[in-house]
Amino acid sequence: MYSSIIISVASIGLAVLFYSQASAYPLAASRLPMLLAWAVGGLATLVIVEELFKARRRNKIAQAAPEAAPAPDDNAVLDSAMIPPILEAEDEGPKPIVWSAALPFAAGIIAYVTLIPYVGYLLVTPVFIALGLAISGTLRWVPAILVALGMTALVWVVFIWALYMPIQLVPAFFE
Amino acid sequence: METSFIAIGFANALTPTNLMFMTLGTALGLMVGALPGLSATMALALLLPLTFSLPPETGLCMLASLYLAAMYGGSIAAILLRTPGTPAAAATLLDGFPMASRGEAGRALGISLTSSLVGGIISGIALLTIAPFLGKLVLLFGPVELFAIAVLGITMIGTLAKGSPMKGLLAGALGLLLAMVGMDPTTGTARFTAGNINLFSGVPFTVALIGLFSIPQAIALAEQARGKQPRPAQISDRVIPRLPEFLRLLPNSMRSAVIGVVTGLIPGTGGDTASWFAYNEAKRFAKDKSRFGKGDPAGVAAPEAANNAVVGGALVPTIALGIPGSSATAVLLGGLMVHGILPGPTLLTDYGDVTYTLIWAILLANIPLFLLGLLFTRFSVIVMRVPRMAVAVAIVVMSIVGSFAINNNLFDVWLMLGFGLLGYIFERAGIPTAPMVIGLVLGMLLDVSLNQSLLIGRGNWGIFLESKISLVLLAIAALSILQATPFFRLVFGRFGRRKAVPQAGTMAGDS
Repeated sequence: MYSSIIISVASIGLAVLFYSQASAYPLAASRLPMLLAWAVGGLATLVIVEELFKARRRNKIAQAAPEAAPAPDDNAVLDSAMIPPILEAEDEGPKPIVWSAALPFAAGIIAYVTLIPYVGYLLVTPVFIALGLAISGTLRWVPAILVALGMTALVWVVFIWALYMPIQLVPAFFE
Repeated sequence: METSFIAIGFANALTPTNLMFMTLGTALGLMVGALPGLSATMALALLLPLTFSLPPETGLCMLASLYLAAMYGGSIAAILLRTPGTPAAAATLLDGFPMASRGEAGRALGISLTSSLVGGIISGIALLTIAPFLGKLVLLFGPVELFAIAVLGITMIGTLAKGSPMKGLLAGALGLLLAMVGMDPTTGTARFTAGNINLFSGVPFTVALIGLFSIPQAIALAEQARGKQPRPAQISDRVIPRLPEFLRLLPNSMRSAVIGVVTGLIPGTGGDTASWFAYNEAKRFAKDKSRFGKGDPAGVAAPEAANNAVVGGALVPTIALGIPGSSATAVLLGGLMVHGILPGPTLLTDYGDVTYTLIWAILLANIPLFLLGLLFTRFSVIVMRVPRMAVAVAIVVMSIVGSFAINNNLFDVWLMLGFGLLGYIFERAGIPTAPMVIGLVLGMLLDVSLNQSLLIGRGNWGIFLESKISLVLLAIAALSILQATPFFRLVFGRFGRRKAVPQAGTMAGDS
């Protein structure tokens, strides 16, 4: 619930920013952006209302019968008209974030992209892959390094050797 | 003219280079489909940069065959692992996995492959016949009608997207808003660029696609990396189905294929919806319904024929109207856009040779799919053993190199990661990303047609109500938005509940 509300509030902020900037543009350039800013603002407000409405109803149900199973929300009711019951059992809704895995992985991606211009693709890519495979416990260090070298070579063959992509290959100070 | 385009397209699709790339696309699609957690859209987005250096028709042949093959590939994981390889294969596991459990994995996969073939052929024929007909009709449309079609497209995709319709609409509107970044096509004003020269040509659609579809899946795989990897069931029996069984399942496959084509025609619905519809219908038509869910071959044939048939159906609005029916077809449209071929009614006229090659590729890709499917199916057990973290890091490396390849610019890589983060947050908040992608595609069309329409109407917004087609389309769009609001459901829900009270009473009495 909170994630949807936070995204909706951020969307309203973006709409306000786009609207204020668009007001300085010529009419033909500002017409659709201003219209869309209103649409985003309105829809985001409706999502917030919907989320609060659902939360209120969930609370009411929980207070009335705490031992009973939670009632399906509006979407589940709508969906159930179309989808066989077996899917409802499969559909568990949005999964929670596993911070302990997602955060280091995301940090690794950011570090990888940051380092490419300085350290070069040929050095930083196998390091990123090997660290990912070894630290996660997927492979031991030696196989992880071998897999990393193989994958780097494959991407190099396809994108750089065959497609002539001008990416920084070696550390900048070597050039 | 059209006949010559059909002939050119056929000849183009049959060149040795294009056939080779079709086979390559099929092999990649089978592998991606067989790996749980990877979608056809993600594979298409990742491979899009590879097509830059290829002629447009060759690139499209590869992407089309990959799309088709990933649909079948999804069933391999569903049958052998009880985890659908793609969302469209979710219905297949209900009967596919019980068949595999009793040692009939090969038979289930063979039925899945032949049904996919039937679905793919029917969808290709439908695409080849419906799209040109609709394309001719659309040539009569002016900017007013095009604006209305684009509005209807985005509202339908938003409201029919998985989850809350309000969230779908919000994602679509955000996509449209982000499409406004860059030079305004009418006045040349740089909009919302914050002075950054990299944004003057707008948000690169391909970059956004790669980020939205690849990075969230890579992070999700990394999250599951420490979990136990399921072991696939063994294939010990024959994969090629016997002729009597194929013929017995043929009416079911053909009916399901028609369901798939029709479902695909509706923007916003995809292979998953079609496969559930087809599964339901197969069960309804079955003499012994109790066998469904316990390993009935008809329960494998129906969803597989339907999800492959969706491919052609979803491409009809994409090709005829320039409005992608799903996120995967949006990527295929992106494949055209990177070669300077803009979406819209001119796809079948000005770019007829390329577009008809794509249509023929959808039909002809069924041949390598069937042949490689027979060869690959046993090998797929090995692919499914690839550790999740290895797939996750491979996706990240491919995404980064692929997004860099678009403009040879590191800014695009950061932009891709930004969209990736956005896609991940959206996914975890239950907000669909497909409407945002469609919004990004349709933004420019909407902007240009709006300004052209208002020029024709001399600034009068009433121009949109003067055309009957536009009026009807905008009324449907307004209704679809209205039905998505909580107030509408509140009012009609109360009305419905009031009517349902006596029925509820009867049920209570029965118990």
